[in-house]
Amino acid sequence: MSELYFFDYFVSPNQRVYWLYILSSLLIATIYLYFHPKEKKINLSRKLWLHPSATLDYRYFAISFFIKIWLVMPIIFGANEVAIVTQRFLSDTFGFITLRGVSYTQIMLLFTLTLFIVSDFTRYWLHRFMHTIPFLWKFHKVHHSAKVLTPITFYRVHPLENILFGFRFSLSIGIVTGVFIYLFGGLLSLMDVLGVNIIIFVFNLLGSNLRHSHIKLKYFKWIENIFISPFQHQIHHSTEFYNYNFGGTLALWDLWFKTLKHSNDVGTMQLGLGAKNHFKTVVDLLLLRRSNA
Amino acid sequence: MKTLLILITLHLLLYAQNVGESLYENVLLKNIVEANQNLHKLEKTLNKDDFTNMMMSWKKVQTLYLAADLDEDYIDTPRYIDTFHEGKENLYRQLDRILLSNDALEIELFKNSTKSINALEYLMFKSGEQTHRQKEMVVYILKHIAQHLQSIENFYKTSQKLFSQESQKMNAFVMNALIESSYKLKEWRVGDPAGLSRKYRNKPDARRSEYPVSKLSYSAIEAILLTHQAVIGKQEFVNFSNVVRSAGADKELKNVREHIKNALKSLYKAPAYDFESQEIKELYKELTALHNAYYISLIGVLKITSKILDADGD
Repeated sequence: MSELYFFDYFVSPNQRVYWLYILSSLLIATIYLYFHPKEKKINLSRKLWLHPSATLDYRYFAISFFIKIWLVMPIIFGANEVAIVTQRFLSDTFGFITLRGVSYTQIMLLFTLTLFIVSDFTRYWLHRFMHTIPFLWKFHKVHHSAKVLTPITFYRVHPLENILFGFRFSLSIGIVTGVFIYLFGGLLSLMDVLGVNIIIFVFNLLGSNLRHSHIKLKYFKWIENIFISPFQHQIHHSTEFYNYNFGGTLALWDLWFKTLKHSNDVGTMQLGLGAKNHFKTVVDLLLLRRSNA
Repeated sequence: MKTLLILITLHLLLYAQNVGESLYENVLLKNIVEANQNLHKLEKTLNKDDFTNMMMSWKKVQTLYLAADLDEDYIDTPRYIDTFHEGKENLYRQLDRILLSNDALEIELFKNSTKSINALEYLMFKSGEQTHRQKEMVVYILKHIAQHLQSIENFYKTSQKLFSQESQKMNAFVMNALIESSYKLKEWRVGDPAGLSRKYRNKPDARRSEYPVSKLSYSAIEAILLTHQAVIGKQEFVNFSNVVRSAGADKELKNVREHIKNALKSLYKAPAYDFESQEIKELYKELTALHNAYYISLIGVLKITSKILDADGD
């Protein structure tokens, strides 16, 4: 894993709360609220942004940075190492090959798309396992315990979940990269914007931060079969439908594995885990110490 | 102060030159021109030492052969010149048969393998006195090789512009050439005769070496390693190491250079044509490490894994 500085969260395009993604989300939210003036009140209220759940998110966000640096990152092996091991395994098993006839641009397109699909697919399954395996759900509850959603809620994740997602990242990205390096060697390149996979960059620019917000941005039903809309993710954070919409960017996995819930299928909903499950302090979050309220 | 200014100016001048342009000038073109010159000399003298020079300069051309990447018409050209590790035919038996035949060489030497540098080696170094027919065959083969070497030189000369354009693509071609060459060097040229490769583990046989008749295989290995050194080693001209270093992969570059240096050391220490010696085992180890180091450098240069958004959860 590469080094991380706290400031990187806002200045690195690799982070969800990169200033440009926040700015684009703000712009989309402004347009949305212009057409839905009734929702202005809640979205601009101090009640939302200074809600105990939101302030806990902010505090946890700051502290979790140090947890990541000292606890999570040293444990996780890097995607580079996985890529090397994969390439060596293929080379030792099948021998060296030189693939000709595939252009540089074709390889770039194929690699960019494969990385995105594999990464999104593995995210879907790990996320689903976090819900369906009781032991993992204990930890994932930390994320779902948020009673209000702000972009910072994205970072309300227990360190164990960080570790699991870190391994998922290293394994999926490392294996794909290793296979491509084995097949194409130096011809490998990624279509990127500011160093980020172009597909992920566009997804973030199109308001990924609204997933953890109260902007009920919905897509047409047919689009929601392909891409998860911000509101579909908010549905996932509801007390009733938290076992739906596990998808990161693509909704296709939810559609194919029967966990999809369209925006129009849900009316009013309550966020969080209900009265019996919430955390008051950062220590409570880390120690999974729930309070009744 | 003056020295510092000179150094800065030199540094800027050095970097002003594109890596592709510099490799073109100092490695690709230099090697192919040298190969053609050595071949013409050999055509005149038919001397064994001149064969060594020609063969070594050809190995240098083959190591960093980029014509195939730039124009698919040139994919097969190296195979017309060199058939090492190509096909399963018994080349020497065929050549012996042709030597005894009275048919015209145009008919007898119709196959590329019989007009290759490997055939040339056999005819020039095989034991016994050289016959008239043998000399005729040598001259005929040299003409054939000259024709292809000249076509490579012509291609490089007419494609100079390509080397300064699309530097990213060019870097990828160079990296792949180094990786491919390091693999063939360790597995085919050292591992197979030494019985260290996957295919021939514990079954050493020097006859599997690249030039078993002339016993010039060490020279071929040396020429290849020297080309790697020219491409990525410490040189007075801008080379591929600048690409690796500018990507922040200094440690990886150091490793690559170290393995090339150590491989050359082991090769120079190796007893004459003894593929079972400890030095050759060391050489194989270094070449394996070199091949792996190229991949590690590649991953370092590509920085692919850092270009992916690592989302925390959702």
